[in-house]
Amino acid sequence: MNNQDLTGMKLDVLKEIGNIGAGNATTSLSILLNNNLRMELPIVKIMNFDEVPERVGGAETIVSAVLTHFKGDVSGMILFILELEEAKNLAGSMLGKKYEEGFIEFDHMDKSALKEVGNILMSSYLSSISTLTNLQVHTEPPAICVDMAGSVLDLPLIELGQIGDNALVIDSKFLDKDEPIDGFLMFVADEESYDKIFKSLGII
Amino acid sequence: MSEVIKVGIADWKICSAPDTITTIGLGSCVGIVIYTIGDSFCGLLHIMLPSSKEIRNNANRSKFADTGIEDLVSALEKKGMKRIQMRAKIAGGAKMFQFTSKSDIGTIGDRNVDSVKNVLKEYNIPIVSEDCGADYGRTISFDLDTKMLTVRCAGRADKQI
Repeated sequence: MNNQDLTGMKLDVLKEIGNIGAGNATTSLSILLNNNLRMELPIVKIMNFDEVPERVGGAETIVSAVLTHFKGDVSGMILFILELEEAKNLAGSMLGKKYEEGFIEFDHMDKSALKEVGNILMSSYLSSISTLTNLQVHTEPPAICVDMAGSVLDLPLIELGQIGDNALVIDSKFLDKDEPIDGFLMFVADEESYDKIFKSLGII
Repeated sequence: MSEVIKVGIADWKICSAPDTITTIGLGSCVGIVIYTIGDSFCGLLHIMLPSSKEIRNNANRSKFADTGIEDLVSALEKKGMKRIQMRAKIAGGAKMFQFTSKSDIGTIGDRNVDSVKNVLKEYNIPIVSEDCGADYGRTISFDLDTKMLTVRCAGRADKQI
């Protein structure tokens, strides 16, 4: 897929799906978190894969990434990425915990909490695609990794390297009472899947 | 003035002393340094996939262990490096995400390392040291004076191999 392929109408559709998905996610999250967390409307954009580590502050920046593969009529992967400090804020607010400064190893519980938020956001986005298009999508269990952005993102890059060079990035901001938590979802699908989505919506 | 030469993903570069050469954030990718004891230059390659033969979209030769090493070795030979004296140090090939479901992609790090080792063996280039596998990312840089490869990881002490 080229950047030129995702412009105008098609990009608007993906943005709209993003908005609907974010709406669903906010509802599920407030139930899970007893309304401690709200989510702003996301900004959707197409990024070249090389630029993605820059979005989080460079290839050596420590990030938390939750990754889920999805299969069915459309296939690909979704990642939920937070900088380490943002991940600490989010997990901290869910678990009522404070973390030390600097690099830390998350324990099993911390990772579960982050995985769950990622899972809810990613599933909400996918289910809004599925509802709008009538296409079947099912997700596989997510996995989490906390490490340098460059090294975390090279697995998606390897999979993507076989199909294309860019990703759909859905910027999302959570509001934890007054403290904003800045994270983003990254949606990666193959060309065939995009075609199916647009075809079922009557765009191509 | 010495500079730090950065090698991106699916790329290789040659570096001459006093400059140093580095590649940032190796996950399941593998970094390969080829040098000799005598020469004051070396090459660093950052590969993503084991073999160019398994994939249709194989225009970028530096993406793959087989074509990447072939190109780097021939570029180094053109600069006057002797094949028989070449040595290698390698790092990377981690398993970053622990998926519960079994998939090919989960073993990509191991397959990259295996392929790099096989290709280097075909060229009769011995691997002097390596830091591969496990579940964490690595940033590597090579010093031509000491011929040491420094491996940097998040939350761990630096390693020299």
